[in-house]
Amino acid sequence: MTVGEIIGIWIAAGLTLMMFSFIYKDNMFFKFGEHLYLGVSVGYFVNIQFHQVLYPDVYRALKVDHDYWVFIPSILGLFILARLIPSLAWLSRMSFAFYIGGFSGIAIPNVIHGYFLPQLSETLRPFTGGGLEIFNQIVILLGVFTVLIFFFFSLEHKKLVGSISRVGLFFIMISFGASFGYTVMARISLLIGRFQFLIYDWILGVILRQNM
Amino acid sequence: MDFVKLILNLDRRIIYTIVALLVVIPLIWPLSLPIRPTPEVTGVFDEIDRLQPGDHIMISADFDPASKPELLPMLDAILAHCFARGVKPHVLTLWPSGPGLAQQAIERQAKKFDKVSGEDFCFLGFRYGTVAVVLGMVSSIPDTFTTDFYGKATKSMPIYQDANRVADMSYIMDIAAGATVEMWVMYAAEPQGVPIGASCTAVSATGYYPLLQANQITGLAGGMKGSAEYETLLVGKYGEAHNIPPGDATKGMDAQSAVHIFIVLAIIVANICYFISLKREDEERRKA
Repeated sequence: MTVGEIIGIWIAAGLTLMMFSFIYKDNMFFKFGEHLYLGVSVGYFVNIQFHQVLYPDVYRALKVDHDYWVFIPSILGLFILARLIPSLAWLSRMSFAFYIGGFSGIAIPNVIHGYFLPQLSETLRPFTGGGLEIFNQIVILLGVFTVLIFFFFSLEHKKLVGSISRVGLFFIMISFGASFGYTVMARISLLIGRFQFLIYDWILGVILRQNM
Repeated sequence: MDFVKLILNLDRRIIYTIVALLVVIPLIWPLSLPIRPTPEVTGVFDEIDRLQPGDHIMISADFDPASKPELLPMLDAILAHCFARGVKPHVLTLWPSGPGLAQQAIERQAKKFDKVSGEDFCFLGFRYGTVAVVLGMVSSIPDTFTTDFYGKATKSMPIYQDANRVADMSYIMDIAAGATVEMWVMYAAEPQGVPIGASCTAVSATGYYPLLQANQITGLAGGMKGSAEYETLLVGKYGEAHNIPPGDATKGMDAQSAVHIFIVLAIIVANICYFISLKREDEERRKA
């Protein structure tokens, strides 16, 4: 392990403990870690924007490759920044109109063919296969129908419509429950990841110098 | 103070301490609880396992350090699987903060399997544009990523002489912390007829089940559990031959199980205590 790596691990371990200190109560170490994270993130993204977009796609394209078409997207990009000046804010509408128009043209056919239609055809699949498969198909069909009714607000949710939307509500609740269970798992995974770093990399790897 | 009041007024820092202990103890003294791969994860593993040596696979590592414990083990495992099979991975990221972790994984696995950049694999790095990048790669990968992560021109690389667009890939794998799976499905996999698999954070796993149900993705590995299942399959089949040890996700699953059991018990006990307290309040009100 190099000296640079050891210093990096100490800094990461220190910052991890600073962020964990919030669990006890809000304090200056947590605040310091929080502000440092924000500062580093902004610096990182500015750096990425410059090296990945501005330099190769604008500066280099104009100066080295003499690709003057780049002027058009560059000017449209500058127009978006015009929102910062109230008297020129209207210029940004041109950029947004171009962006929304172009992206809609690309997205709408792809969303319909690549997502909406396959999902629709799978939902309305004929009842084939074994008993369990047919049962699953019925559950899916029932879920889609009742949840759609739940979000259909043109009719008052009373009598039959109310009963169906109530079934839809059960499906939504089951979905929320599954999402919550997965969310708990995700958050615990992050905690485990930090403890793996603290135990394996910092305590055992750097402090006790044991190979893990 | 009786037990019911104690539970209902428990300082949350005590719960945090218990959770911390339940994470730390299994990490130091592993319980080695069994991990049973589910059909969802097997769907990804089997597809990659079916690929022939020399086939190409596109791996999009669309995650950042915030999802490292869940998704980095999956990237490591898939790269190890590809290299063990002789499959050529093209790794890229659509997340600006993604290249660092992807670089770690690809360099670690390439060194272990003695693979050469530009011949056996290519790390394309990051390019701004998400949908535009995917659409660009549908036409030409070397035109979209003119250089790889290390600044080498892609057009002259041996790996791009026989496969240079998405349609030339035998499989696409999106390891995603955000909503990039749908995008890969809509703009690359479905139009080009290339099978795709997904690995995602546990938070977003439920959202991808409709894609799995409709066979739009061949498999789904959700969160650390999905990664651990993939590692189990990989170690089971290639562990001995290629000296692949269980990864970080497998090591973390004991702690995951311990905390889950605690959370389930805490929910049950706290609810029982809550209803007992309601009953007591009701009785006291009636007496008064």
